[in-house]
Amino acid sequence: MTRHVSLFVLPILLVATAVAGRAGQAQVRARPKRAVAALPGIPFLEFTALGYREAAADLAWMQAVQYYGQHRQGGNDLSEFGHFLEAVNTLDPRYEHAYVLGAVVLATDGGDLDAALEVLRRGARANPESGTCAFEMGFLSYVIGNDADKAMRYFALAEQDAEQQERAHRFRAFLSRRLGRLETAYLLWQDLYKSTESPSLRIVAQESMRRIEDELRQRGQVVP
Amino acid sequence: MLQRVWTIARWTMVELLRERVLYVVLLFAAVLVGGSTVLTPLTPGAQKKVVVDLGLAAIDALGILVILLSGTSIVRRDMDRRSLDVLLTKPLTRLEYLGGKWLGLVATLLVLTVAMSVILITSLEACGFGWQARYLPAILGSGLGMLVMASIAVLFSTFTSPMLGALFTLALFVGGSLSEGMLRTVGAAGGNPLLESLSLAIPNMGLFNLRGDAVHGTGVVPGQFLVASCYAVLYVATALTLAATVFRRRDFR
Repeated sequence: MTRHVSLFVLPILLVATAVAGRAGQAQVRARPKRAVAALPGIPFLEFTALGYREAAADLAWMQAVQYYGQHRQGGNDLSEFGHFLEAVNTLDPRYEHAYVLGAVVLATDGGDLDAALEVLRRGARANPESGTCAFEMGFLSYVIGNDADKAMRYFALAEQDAEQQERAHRFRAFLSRRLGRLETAYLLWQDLYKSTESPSLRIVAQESMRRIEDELRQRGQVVP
Repeated sequence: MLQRVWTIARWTMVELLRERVLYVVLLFAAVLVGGSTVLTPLTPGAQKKVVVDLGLAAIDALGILVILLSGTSIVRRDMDRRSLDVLLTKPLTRLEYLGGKWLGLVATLLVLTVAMSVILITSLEACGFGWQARYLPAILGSGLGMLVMASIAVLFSTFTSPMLGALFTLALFVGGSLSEGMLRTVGAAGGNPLLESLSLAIPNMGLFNLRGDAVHGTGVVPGQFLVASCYAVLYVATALTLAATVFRRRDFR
């Protein structure tokens, strides 16, 4: 008897639960959209992460990416992004990818180049052996800040890291020409031509050297 | 002596495996595959880091979970089944008994860790990220941490219920993971001798956490690993000796 009752009652309960769940979902969706749940204070995060700081930083970074995505859809003004970024950087100071991408977001969408450079400076301090953040500082200083001199200094710094050497060197050569320092540009391209293992880059270097030679001749200067 | 310890260890390991502890490996696989599938699309450019972070953290956390769930009832189970009464009538010291119990738990954790590592390696290779030898010290570090936590679980299992033992072990794990940060905070505020003394008693779990160095490829300094190993050996020896002392005082009549 009891078995028959439960056979009858169970499907009803299952359907009722599903209906209630569905209604709950609809209610949650109907709520006004808020910013992605704000992260708690950074010292609290540090403690609650226990020893799993890198994994916690990944989760915080995902929140930051979602927050940025929401901004792109007009959901927020990006004002909390710096906090998200600081949380990620504090939990995992060696997570370079977050510094770079975060700085790009702050400089472009946020329109705050100084904040972006500060984030990258923080990254460079936490990763002194890497030139990634220095390169990005140079890149943003030139592209967003239009300050080629400053960018040149950052690229020179980035060149100290073997991994960044080639592209930082290339940017320095490119900027030297832009700044009218043709001799320096020629020598930098020449250096790159000799050192690179990339055939395509060698062609670019050769072409650049040829153009600079023409410009130097037009100015009546001697090719170094 | 070693023969007796080994017999207890083997028996404990079989017992733990019969409790379907190996299901943890399936849980690990689910966490890794599920986490990688859901999380990696959200982190463009850092997918590999996410999978490695998740895998290494899960190996460590699930090992601790097994210690909390199985390790803290390791002695109580023998008491409840009265098999301990029979065992103690044999020529077996209580330290040998506890050492065997600890070794059995550690052997089970070793099997679990190896299985989880194989799954991590396989999934990294399958995703095209590639396994790197530099991740190994992180797993070994987690293993050392598990040795210490297992000895603490055995210690608590000699005089408390499994529930309380799990709570105390968890409290020490949390305290041990936080101790470095807390000391830094307290140190910045002028220091607190009581807290500093207390931090020496709880296990310094930060010493075994080599995941950051492994993931970022900064490399683990051999000295760091040596210090962590020596610390683990000393901590385990102290905890087991303390456990034997407490256990010796217990009357099972």
